[in-house]
Amino acid sequence: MFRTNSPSTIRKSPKVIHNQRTERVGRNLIKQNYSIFTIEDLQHYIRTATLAALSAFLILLSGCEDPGGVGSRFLDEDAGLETITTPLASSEAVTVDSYSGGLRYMAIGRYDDPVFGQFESIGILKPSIDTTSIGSQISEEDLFQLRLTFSSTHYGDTTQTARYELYRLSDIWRGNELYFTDQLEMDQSELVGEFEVSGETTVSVDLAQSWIDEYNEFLSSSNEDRQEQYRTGFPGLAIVPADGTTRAHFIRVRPDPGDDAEDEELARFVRVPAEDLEEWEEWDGTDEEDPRQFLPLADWGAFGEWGEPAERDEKSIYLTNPLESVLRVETGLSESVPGGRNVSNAQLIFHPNRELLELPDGHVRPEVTELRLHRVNSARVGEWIFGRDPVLTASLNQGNDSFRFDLTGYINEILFNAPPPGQFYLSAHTVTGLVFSTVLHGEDADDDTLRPKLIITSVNSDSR
Amino acid sequence: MIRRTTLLLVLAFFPVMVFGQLQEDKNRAGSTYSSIAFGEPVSLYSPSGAGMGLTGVSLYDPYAVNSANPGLWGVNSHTQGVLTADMHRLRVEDGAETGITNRIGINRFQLVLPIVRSQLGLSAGFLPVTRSSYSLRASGSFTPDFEEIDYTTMEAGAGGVNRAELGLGYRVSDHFSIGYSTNIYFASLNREHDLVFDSPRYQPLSYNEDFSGTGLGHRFGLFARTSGLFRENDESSFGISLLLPVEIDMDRSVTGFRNVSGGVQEVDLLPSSGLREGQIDLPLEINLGLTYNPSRYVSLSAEYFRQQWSNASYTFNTTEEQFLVDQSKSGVGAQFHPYRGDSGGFFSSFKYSLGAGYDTGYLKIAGERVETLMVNGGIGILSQRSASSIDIGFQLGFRGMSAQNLIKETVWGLTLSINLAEMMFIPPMFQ
Repeated sequence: MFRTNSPSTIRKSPKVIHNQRTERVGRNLIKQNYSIFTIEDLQHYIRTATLAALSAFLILLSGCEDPGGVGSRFLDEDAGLETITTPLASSEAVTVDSYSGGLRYMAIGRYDDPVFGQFESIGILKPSIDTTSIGSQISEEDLFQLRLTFSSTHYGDTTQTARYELYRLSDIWRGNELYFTDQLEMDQSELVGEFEVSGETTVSVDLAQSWIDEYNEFLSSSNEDRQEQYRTGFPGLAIVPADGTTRAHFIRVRPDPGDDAEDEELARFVRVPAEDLEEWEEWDGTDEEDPRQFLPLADWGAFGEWGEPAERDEKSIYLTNPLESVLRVETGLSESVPGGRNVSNAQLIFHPNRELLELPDGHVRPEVTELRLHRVNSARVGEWIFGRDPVLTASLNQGNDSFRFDLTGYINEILFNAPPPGQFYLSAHTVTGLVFSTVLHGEDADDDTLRPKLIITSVNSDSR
Repeated sequence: MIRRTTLLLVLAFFPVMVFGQLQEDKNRAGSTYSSIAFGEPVSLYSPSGAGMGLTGVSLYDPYAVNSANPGLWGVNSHTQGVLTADMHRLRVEDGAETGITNRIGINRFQLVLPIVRSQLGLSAGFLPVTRSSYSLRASGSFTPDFEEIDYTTMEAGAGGVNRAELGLGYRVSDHFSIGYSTNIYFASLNREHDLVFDSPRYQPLSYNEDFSGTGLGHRFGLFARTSGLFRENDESSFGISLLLPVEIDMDRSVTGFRNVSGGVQEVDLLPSSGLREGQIDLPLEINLGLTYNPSRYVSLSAEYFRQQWSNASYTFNTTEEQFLVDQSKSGVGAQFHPYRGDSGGFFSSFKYSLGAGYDTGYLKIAGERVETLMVNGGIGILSQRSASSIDIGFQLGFRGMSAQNLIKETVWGLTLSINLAEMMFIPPMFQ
């Protein structure tokens, strides 16, 4: 039945095909003088191949068109996005101490903050004994003053004028070993100098000749170990807020990173030699050479205390800088991450308690615009925070009045590697000598939308 | 001359098709419906039936491979091979937007070797079962906290289920032949997901979802034929093939690249409770056909095809699984063979085909079946010197609707089958 010449299978019988083929090929070979291709054949092949390739190319080109947004409804309406909001596992206020010497700013003053309690800071300093700038002797006829430049940041009652007194320190100290909570002795039997300041940017303070004479001994000393003698034998000065002072100032001692500040813009001792005093009095600060000789500080710092406020809101988180109060934060993410492994964004959010942060008219407190999150892997929390960069910073989001830390990278570490060692600690701003204190809504805040929380946005990669 | 021309056409098209296959992988341009579950079933036309839009289950062509019926593998006297490529152009619309996609690809290779001439044949082939090729994009917004975040999500899919088939056909008598094949199924699906946000605080998410698995299947075929049933010199044939249900054990992975420990690493994004293993069950498939040749110039065919997709399973997404419904396809077609006559005219040297079919579709979404109406035409280019040929099939189809969040597709298709018999597998007679 499956014969080759059946109605449905007949084409040309193989025998006929064979004969035709043999005859045709043989004829071609004879005609072409035993050559397989003729010129005409070759031209035909080229034409056909060109046509075919062109057609194929045009077809291929048409393959680059775009289906556009057709079929978008075949995708999940929410793209599989999941947003999970979860509270902090726990948090705990921790009291730490921090270094307060050699910083960019030196805090002086006193302010009874209704939220944070009484802040009092005594600045301490001593001039260098570098003879290259002022020579090796300050004569009684010379002008020798302490020139202080203040930050534009103020803390306290700005309607009041602050008065400060300068005394000899009794204790020997080193700025890089000074903690803010240290208490140094001073000799308050003799006033070395005093000044008042309100909103001025600089003040020049006359110094007692007796103190200058003491300083002169070290300045003019030719002993080989004069530096060591000076360090261990000359305690320097304390700038003490006088009674009735209700505000704090911040003396600018060291330039900010990248700021090429002049001597005039920083705290310096200034000497004007007796022979230049007349010129100094007539100097208008422009064209002629400045007759003043600037002497940098050899060391500086501040110590003081934060008192207890009259009332502390237990539902709020208190952060202070100089570091006394920081917050240990337990996110609860170390063991599991809610929302799956495909995380696009994870935020740790804190809201300032604006109601508590309010101050009477005329009173100011430096606004905290940056919170820092540290991963501390040490029992010496204060030193860790002081000496190392935070793992994350969060600037104040003005739109939502919140601080938002991006924990996405941290979560990916937990998910795909291991939780980094240590614990999270929250602090306000870098320790620079300025005061930064704030109150955040705590975990028990009445308004639950203002409580600290984690918001994790991920895509559920387990389903389409 | 025709043979030379077709040979050159094939040679010119071949690299384009191969490149087109790669392009397809890149563009993921195909039917949006192929995004559902394991992709859309591929209609597997035998080369000689493609012009009618029929599988050719009852169509005997001694010069071309029959892919639809194992019962036809034992009746051949020629060694046969086929390479099939297709190109589809889809105009798609969903009621809101329109677009055009193009897809070019090689979809089949099959070789049939007569072990005992016209008695016992061996077939080996690699054939598609389902195909997933799509690219979707959508936009939206969400409010995770206090601000609204806009996003764009994109998903591109490629791959499908293919089967490697090895089978035997045996001619029991002059009127009756049977066949059987073992099929190893290879499932490989890839989905690329991209999600980008208009907020820099939100990291864009790119990840790959891969499915792979294998399964074993069986296919049976039967072919019967008689002559003189209604008139002298007529021929009538009947064919049936049965593809048994197949279970494919699948593995699933979801991976992406993330910054970890200061470097970029490929990471596993499936949670510990994630679905890493699943199953694809492909259903029973039955294909029936009748062909009547009133004369040696004309063939008339009718076919019925049914797949019980309601019994299929796709355990990775039960929602999509529920879209699957039993599919029935009916089609009729006719072929005209003028070359069997004595006329030597140019137009008498081709084979002409025409057909139409209706497909109830394998999907039912929002209560609506995704039906297809298809009109087919074809032309066969026959070698004057050998048993080889080229079959070119044309399709125009209308599928789905733009209502009910569905998509209406207008399909233009071109199928090119290169049927090699004498040219490659029989030594040239003139040496």
